[in-house]
Amino acid sequence: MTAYLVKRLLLAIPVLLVTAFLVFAALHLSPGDPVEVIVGPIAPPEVREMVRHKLGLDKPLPVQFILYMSHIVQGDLGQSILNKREVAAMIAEKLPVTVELGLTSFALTYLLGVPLGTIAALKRSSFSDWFTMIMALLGVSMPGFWLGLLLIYVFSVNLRIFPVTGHGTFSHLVLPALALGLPFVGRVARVTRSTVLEIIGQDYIRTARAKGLRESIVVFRHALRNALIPIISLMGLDFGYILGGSVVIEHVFARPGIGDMILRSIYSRDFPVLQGCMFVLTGGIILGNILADIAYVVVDPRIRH
Amino acid sequence: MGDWQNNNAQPAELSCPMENCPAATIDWQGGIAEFSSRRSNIWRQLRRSPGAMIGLCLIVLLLSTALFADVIAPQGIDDQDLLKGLLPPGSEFLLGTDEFGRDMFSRIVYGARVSLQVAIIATTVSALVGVSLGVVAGYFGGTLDHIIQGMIDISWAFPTVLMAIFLVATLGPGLVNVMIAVGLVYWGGYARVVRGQVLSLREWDYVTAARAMGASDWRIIVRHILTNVLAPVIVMATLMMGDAILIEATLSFLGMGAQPPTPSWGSILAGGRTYLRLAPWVSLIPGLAIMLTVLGFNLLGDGLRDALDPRLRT
Repeated sequence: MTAYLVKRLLLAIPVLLVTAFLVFAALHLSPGDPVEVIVGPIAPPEVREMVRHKLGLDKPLPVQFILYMSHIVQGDLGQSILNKREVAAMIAEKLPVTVELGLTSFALTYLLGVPLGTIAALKRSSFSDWFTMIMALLGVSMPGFWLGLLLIYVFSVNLRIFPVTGHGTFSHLVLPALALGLPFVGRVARVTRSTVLEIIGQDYIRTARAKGLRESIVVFRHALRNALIPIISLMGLDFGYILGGSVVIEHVFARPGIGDMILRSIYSRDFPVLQGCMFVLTGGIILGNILADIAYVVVDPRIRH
Repeated sequence: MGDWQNNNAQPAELSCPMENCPAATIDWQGGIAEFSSRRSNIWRQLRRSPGAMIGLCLIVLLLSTALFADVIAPQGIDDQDLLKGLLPPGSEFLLGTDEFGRDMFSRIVYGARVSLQVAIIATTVSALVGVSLGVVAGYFGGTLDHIIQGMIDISWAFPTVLMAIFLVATLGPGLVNVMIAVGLVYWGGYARVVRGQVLSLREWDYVTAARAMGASDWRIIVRHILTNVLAPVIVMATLMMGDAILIEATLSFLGMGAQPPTPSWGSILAGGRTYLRLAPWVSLIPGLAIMLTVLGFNLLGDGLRDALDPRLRT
């Protein structure tokens, strides 16, 4: 197990390096000059060159990349071009806001989706089938930001139950978590439903029932446990999607998290901040995949890589 | 709807003459079937699925709205009348007006054109790139396959929205860049599926037979391989039209896509955010348009998948 874990973590390093390289290359080859943003259009060329030199942007690209990477390895993500603050410190400040939202909607998705799918499989009625299908279809068809606005309109503007924007308290978290998580609930329910349906037809379930076990034990210990594998692989996938979706949802609800920071850095062409955020989000996604892999092994001892 | 039937019932690429294409006897469902009967089968199956029919109706509605926008829309995209700002839906303005007094109905109608245009171009480009790379990787194998597979893996490592946002951030805002970004995000999906199909098709007897008869690689790919990967590609393209529309709407909502006064559903929605309390229709109606459109493509895509290739079902 430990050897597997170490191997898995080591494998993440090249992926992170490739990501860092791609992000760096994309940003530095893109049109749009951060120097232009800082000095403005009427600055004399000397000033322009001075700023460029100060930021290290006058060095050849490969040199810039090596410098950038060596700083990353030391945990230094550079400085914001706009306000000169350490990018790592800025991220550390905003990360909890994003993590809080991400984890809440992740939990919400699975706490709603898995029971819903299980009930749909056990009841096997056409209604539950239809209901989970509609949920799944609407989930993939609905723009998350629109769902967010709809929730704001119903629960904040009309019913005045939850605050519109901001963060800090639990009631600030409810609407964004719903907007981010609800679209995934239907899909989780569908996967759970089909997996549980498949398992319910297996011989060992019939045996368990024939032994006279209570239905709850049959469902929880025998059926659901074996249904966990596909659900976990879905979790690994959804983790990334929820992180990605949080960028838009944070914008809708004006939550000061990483997503909000990404958008701001794009509008102001603050490359170091954008680079840092992309790097951290990629790390988060890789971490999610590693956790899913570990969960596989824990749930199913047959899987030993 | 009749038009659609004709277009899809007899696509020239799907059929190939019996005498020089043994593939004609192998259908996607693994059985033996004649092409002509399969074609009518697909339509019959599609018609039996209520979801697919609803999807088809939604898409036909969208297509005709986009095509005849000039006829349908009572006003231009940027006809302003500040005295009539933020009027609720009613007899004068079917869907109300926005803060500049522009007719929402007209802007939604023209928005259909923008959404569809972006989605069609982006989907076509990503399908062309994805299918070509997938065929090359699967058919020729070797180092090329490794390189292409690595590229596919990288393109799949990121959540699509995040990658599209990042790409448009580097390319700069605008609808053309949105198309490029969507194309770059989605080509990997086609490439992966096509590569897998080609890997197995390559080993079929009829391909070996064609090769034994002296057919060139190019001929085998075009006549024997491509015709058989068409079904999954059509299904994927339909489903990805919906995704492309969602991504375009998201980017335009964030201000990176359509620039004013071009009416994109996403940007109209973003413009209405400030007036959510006063004039909820300005943001809620474009969202409904987006949802119905994407729903249409998803329903039709699911129906097509069931009719064309049940093995694709996940």
